[in-house]
Amino acid sequence: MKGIIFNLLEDFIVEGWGDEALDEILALCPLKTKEPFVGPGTYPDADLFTIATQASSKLGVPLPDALRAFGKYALPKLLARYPSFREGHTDAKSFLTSVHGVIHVEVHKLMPKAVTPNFTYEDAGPGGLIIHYESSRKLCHLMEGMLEAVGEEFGQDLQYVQTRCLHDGDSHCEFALHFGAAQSRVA
Amino acid sequence: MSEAALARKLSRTEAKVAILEQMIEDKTRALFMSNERLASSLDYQRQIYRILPEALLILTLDGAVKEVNASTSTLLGYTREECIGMPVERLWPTGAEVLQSVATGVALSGQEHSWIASNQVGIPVLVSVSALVGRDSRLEFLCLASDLRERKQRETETRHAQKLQSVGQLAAGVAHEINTPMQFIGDNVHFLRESFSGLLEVIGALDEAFDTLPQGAIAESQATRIRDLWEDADVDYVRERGPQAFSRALDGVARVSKIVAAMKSFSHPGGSKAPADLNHAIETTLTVAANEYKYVADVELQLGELPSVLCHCGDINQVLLNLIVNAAHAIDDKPRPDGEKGKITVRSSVEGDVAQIAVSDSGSGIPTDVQPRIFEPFFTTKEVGRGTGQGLALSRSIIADKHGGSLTFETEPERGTTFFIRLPLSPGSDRPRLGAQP
Repeated sequence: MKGIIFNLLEDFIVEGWGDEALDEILALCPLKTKEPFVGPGTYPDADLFTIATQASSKLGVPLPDALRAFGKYALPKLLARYPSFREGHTDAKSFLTSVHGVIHVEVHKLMPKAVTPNFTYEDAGPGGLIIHYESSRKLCHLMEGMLEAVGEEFGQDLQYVQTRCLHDGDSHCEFALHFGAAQSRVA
Repeated sequence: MSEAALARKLSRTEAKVAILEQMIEDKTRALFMSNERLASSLDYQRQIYRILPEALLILTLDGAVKEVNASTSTLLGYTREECIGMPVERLWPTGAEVLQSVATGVALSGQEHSWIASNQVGIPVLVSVSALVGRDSRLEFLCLASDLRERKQRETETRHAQKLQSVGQLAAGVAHEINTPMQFIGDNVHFLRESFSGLLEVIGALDEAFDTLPQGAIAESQATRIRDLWEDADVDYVRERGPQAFSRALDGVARVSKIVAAMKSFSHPGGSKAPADLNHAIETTLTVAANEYKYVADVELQLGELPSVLCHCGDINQVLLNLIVNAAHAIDDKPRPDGEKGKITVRSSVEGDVAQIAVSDSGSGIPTDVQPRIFEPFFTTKEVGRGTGQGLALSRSIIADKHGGSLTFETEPERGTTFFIRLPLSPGSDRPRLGAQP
């Protein structure tokens, strides 16, 4: 996992619970990585799960909820850092269908060692989309948070139903999405 | 936040800065090394691209030239900039069809085609075309072509040489067959002349005796018969012209023998190089070619002393024949209102380390626009049937390629042309002087 995700998780904890909470959580984590995480670095996936699990336990938030909240927090931060990923998209569906073929490709250009999940799409008509998510990390809860953030980013009512899940033994997670009309965003 | 927690945070931040600095250094080094490898690889590929003797073209799916190498420019006479974007049909009339076929998966490998150079001359080439995926992921074609002109010329030369060899062998055979009867014709004419000479003496003595016979020594009827026979046989005329007739007959036999000997010598098949007397080759060739020039030109020979020259004498004879026939044609083509013959001058000399033969004519000279092309295969200004356009191309090939010499010319309008054959003298030659013919 790239360091930028670790840094976002650290920021997420600091913004929600303060510096001391992060300090305490990190102190309790038996991490494989001994040095601080930096954005361009590549670190073991297990370290991210260790921090997330420790934070969930320490802050009294169930892990799926914590990951969902982190996904919703991380997406706008990532788009702010890499504005070109959003350029040219005026709605959530357009943006989401570019994630695997364009954004993940660009991620690999910036971070050649990045391991990105595999997305496949099924078009379900003008207001619908089915996304298949495959990843050994099984971070579908993180994805849920990110989907919600995408809806907000584009001012759309984005409803989704998860019809399959890696945690239930399926070969992939499946999200059936329905997009409402885009609304102009109010600052 | 406690002081200890702040200190830990500060320590983490400082460590992050140090790691990031190290990462930037590592990335910068990696980027530099990567650029170096890329530049080296690019340079290597450019070298291959540059020295590739084949013409290389990259063509787009719609048949436009996308890139060419230097060999393409050399082959076709277009600059790279002129080639880029050019429709393939302009260079290769059947190219579009070939590309269509290659696009369907049928690669073209080593097929003979004709391309068109900038001067609109067709060039035979051996072409291979493969499909490839370009940098923008679009289908393109890689086209490699070898110039076949030299190979074609060699094939033509070989065919021509084989034909000449056949004709030469035939001529040598005919010459041999003529030679034997000519020898006994000559011997018998010699015998008859000697016999005739004896008979004339006998007839002279009888004539004197007849005049001094006393009256009635022989019967009048016998005397009358002898006088009638004498007059019928025109003995006085035969006694006067007979010896001259024998001389002319022997002269004719000698001339035929000389031509036959020249033909045998001229058509002598050449295997490996052998020392040859070039002056003798000149004289032999002039004898064989006499019919080509004797009505239009007189020949002047200025033969210097030459050492024997290591060469394929049959080939040199062929070159001399070409030059002499060309000289005769040049003189014949020049208007001669007074009907006066032109002049062919053949000179031989040693110039430094080379033996030089110069064949000059008093024709009209070679026009300026024609001069650069006279050694091109199949180029001729002669009418159909009179010239094949092969003579000078073959001659230069024989002199330059087979003997390491040179064939050049100097020409002056209305004054004529001189061709110079220069052949290297064999190294270490003791230069035995083969005396020039008087």
